[in-house]
Amino acid sequence: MRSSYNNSVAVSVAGSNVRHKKKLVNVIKPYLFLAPITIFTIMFSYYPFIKTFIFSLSKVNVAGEITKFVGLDNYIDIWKRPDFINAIKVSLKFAAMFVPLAVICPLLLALIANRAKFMTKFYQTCFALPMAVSMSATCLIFKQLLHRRVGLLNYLLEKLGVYENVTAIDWLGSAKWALPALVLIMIWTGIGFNFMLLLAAVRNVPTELLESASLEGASYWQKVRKIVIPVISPTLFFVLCTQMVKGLTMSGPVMILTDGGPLGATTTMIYYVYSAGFKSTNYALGSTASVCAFLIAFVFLLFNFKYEKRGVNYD
Amino acid sequence: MKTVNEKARQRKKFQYYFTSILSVILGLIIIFPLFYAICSGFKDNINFDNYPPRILPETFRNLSNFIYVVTKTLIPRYMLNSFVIALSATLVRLIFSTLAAYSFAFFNFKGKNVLFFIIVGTMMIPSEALLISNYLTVSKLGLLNTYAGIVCVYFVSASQVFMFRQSFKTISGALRDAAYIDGCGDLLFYIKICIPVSRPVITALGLSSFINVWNTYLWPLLVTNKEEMRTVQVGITMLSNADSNAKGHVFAGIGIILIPMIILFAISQRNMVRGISSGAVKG
Repeated sequence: MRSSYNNSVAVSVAGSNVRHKKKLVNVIKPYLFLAPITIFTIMFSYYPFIKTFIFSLSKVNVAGEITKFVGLDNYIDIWKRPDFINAIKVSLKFAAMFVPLAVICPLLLALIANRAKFMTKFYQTCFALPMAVSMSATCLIFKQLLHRRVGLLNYLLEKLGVYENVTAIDWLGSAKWALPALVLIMIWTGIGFNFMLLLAAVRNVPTELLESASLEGASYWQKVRKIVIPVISPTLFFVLCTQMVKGLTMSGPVMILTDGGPLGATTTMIYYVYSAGFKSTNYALGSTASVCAFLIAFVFLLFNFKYEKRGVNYD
Repeated sequence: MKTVNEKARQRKKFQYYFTSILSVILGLIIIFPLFYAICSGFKDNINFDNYPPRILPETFRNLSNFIYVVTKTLIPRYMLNSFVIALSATLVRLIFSTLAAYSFAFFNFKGKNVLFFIIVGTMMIPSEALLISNYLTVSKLGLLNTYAGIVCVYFVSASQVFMFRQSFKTISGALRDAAYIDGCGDLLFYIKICIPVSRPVITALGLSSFINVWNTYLWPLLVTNKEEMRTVQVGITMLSNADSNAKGHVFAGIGIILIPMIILFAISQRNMVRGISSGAVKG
């Protein structure tokens, strides 16, 4: 229907030369509208993506020039590196702790907020406000809150009697607790956005469904399990996927707070890429590591999408 | 004697108060770190080493930390940098993605689906995997330590293209045909009709993009090494690393960089909720 106009104009314009020009303009116009974004997409997404891949198959000098093609040697080498294997393990461990919490916490908040009826504006703003706070500010705030000696968290735990027989935990300085502390920080930063998404989804659950279920004597949790969760499953799935990628590619708080330490306990895959590429200027190693990180995240996503067919309904 | 019905009603009333109070308490817990940070800006540097730790400062009238940060550190310059970067990235992003969305919404042309897939496909590539190559590109172009070098990677936003396409599709093709016959070209139609009609979407996406770019850390850290080109996010961590005893200054700095974002957020919250829910509910 829209193209009909183009033809009619072309016919009505007198003179074949003009007609030709007009037609040409009409043909290239859509591409002109798309040109700026396409150029930048190729330049800063696809070109670097391919380049990273080629780097991972080559020897690269400090200036970022390829000196030799080495095939899969870099990949064979990197799998022999205990520090990279450690980085994969750390990332998986982080994701295993982070993803369930990052989905369940905002979901619970959304369910509670959907039921509560007064001061809604106040607590919704509270739940959503972390969205506006940057990663670096968050990290610096938590650095103080989690301080071993004068941090409020340890003070609270001490007052609750947790530390009666044990010494206070050095949250960011001990190999055992640094990763859980980073999980806490990442949950806090992500909670606002996911909460808003899930709240919008929960509010869209048809009330007739819930009412008829209550008439038949369904309890609240039954309703949540049998009605709310299936209805909001597309949004839940979206949150799950984004949080999974976020968990597997986490690096910001590591850089700001722990520098991968103590003893590599928080060296995630992307932090490894950063330290290999920019601290040791080993671009080939860094590129190989980032391709591996990408593939690992991708495999997990594929796994998700496979499950999606069974668990998510888009009706 | 109370009937069953009345009991049920009372229980419902109780639940309703209970969840409301619970929500308020949870909200306060979540917001606590922010409250703590703002309060800490008013404390003296020594205050942070005292045990037991205190939440509230002795007085809110002690502005010396804020004055120090504004006059003695580069934080104002960092804020200017971040502002320029976030604003220019957001504007260019909006222009690029509305233009692209216009093309996808109103034209039929060869390769439309392929191009759409290429642009939306960037959502699958995590930006972290591109750091090294993008760094090399920017340094080869001689853009290290420039605004252009920092913002150039933010120009493409696939999700914006997606949302604007949805929004433009609500404008009927008949309207566009009518405009055509009146001699209104595509560019004019885009400027005079599409942009004003999608104003709510533009504000929502624009504000959230501004906040996102303002908050980025890693990329600006990589492509700048000159003091005066740092962004606030990088600058504030540098301030904290440079003098670990000056925590009062750090928290004052955090307060200063947080307040604009919180204000922006308060203004845009309603808009953003609408933007988020309209785009994502369908999964």
